[in-house]
Amino acid sequence: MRSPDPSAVLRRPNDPPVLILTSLAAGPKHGHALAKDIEAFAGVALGPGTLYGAITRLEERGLIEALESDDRRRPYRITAAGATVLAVSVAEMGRIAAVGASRLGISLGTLA
Amino acid sequence: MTASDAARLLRWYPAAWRERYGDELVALMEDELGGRDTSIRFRLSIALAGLRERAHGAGIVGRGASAAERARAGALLVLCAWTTFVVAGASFAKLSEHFDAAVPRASRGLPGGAYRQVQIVSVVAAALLVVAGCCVLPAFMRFVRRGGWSLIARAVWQATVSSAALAVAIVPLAAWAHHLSYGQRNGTDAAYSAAVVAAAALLVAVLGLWTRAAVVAGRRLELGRGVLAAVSSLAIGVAASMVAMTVGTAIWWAVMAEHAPWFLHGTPAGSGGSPFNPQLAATMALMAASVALGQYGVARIGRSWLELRRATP
Repeated sequence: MRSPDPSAVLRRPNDPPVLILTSLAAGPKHGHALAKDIEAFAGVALGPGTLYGAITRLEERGLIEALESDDRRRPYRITAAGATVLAVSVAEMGRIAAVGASRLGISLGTLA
Repeated sequence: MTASDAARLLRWYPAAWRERYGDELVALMEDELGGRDTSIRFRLSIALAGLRERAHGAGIVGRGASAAERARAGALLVLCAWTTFVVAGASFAKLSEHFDAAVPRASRGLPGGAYRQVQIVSVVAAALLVVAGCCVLPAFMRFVRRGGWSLIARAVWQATVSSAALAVAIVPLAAWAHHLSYGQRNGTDAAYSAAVVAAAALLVAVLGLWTRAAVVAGRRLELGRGVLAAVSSLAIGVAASMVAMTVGTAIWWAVMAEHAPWFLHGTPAGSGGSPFNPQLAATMALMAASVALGQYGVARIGRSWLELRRATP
C-alpha cells in the first residue's frame, strides 16, 4: 500500500475522494447512502461510475476499507490513514477559506 | 434496468475490477435508477468510468499499478503511437511521391534533405522496434510454453485473418493499377480510387489488429528488469524518431510551399496557390497526435524509472 500523500489524493474541495472521505467521517456507508449524503451536504451528484472509481482509488491507497456484508450493498468506512489525510486536507482548505474571508472582511460563520 | 443491461454496462470494466466491485456497482445503479431505464448519458458515464478503470489497471494512467507495470505501459503506448505514425507516414509517402520532379533544380536541396531525414529516421525507428522485439522474444517463448497462447490466440487469429484478406485484396488491385495511366491511378478513375481507399482502410485495420495482439501479449510477459530497461530505452528512441520525422515533414512542407506550391495542389508547374493542403494538414495532425501519445508514454517511462531507482537501495 502506498503511503498517503494528501496532495496526491485530495486536490479540490469538491473532488470525489474529498467528498467520500468527508461523508465517511460521519460513519460507514454503502454506495447509495454515500451518493445521497454527498448530494445533501455538498450539492454534488456523483454518478455511479465516478463514485466507484473514487472508491477504488481510496481503497487502493488504504484510506477507506470495506466492511463485511452479506448484502451486495457493501458499506465502507474511513481508516485512520484516511482520517489523517482528510484532516490535513480540511485544515488546508480551512486556512485558504480563512484567508479569503479575512480579505473580504466577512466572518466564516455567516456563510454557513 | 434489466440484468442484461447491467451485464452489458459492466463489460466496460476490466475483469478483475468486475470481480471485486461489480455486484456493488450494479446494486448502486439499481438504487440510483429506481426502476427507470438507463439513459444514454448514464450509459456513457459508466462506459467512460469503465475505460478509465481499464486505463488504471493497464498502468496507462494513475499510480495504482507498480512502477515496472507503468514503465511497460509507457513502452506499449509508444508502440501504439508508432502504429498511428506509420499510417501518417504512409499518407506522407503517397503525398510526396515524385516531388523531386516538381521542384526547380536549384531548390531541391532542402526538401530533398528533409525527405531523406524522414526516410533514414523511419528505418532507424523500425530497426529499434525489431531490436525491442528480439529483446522480448525469449520472454514471449516462455509465455507460450507455459500455456499463454490461449490468452492471445484470438487477437493473433484476428490479425492473421485481416492480413490474409489484405493480401488477397492487394494482388488484383496491383494488377488493375498496371492497366491504368498515371492520371487514372491518381484520382481520375473513381472506381480505382474507391478500391485504393478500401485497401488503405484494410491496411490500417491490419496494423491496428497486429498492434493490439502485441499489446495483449506484451502486457502478459514476465520481463526481467534488464529487459524492461532495454525495451524502455528503445521505446524512448522510437518516440524521439517520431519527433524527428514530424519535424522533417514540417520542413518539407514549408520548403515545398515556398518553392513549389503547385505540387501541393497537383496544378501545373509554375502556377501559384495556397501552401495549405488539407490531406497534408491531416497527415501532420495525425503525426502530431502520435508524437503526443509517444511523449506521454516516454513521460510515463521516465517517471516510473525514477521511482524504481529511488526504491532500489
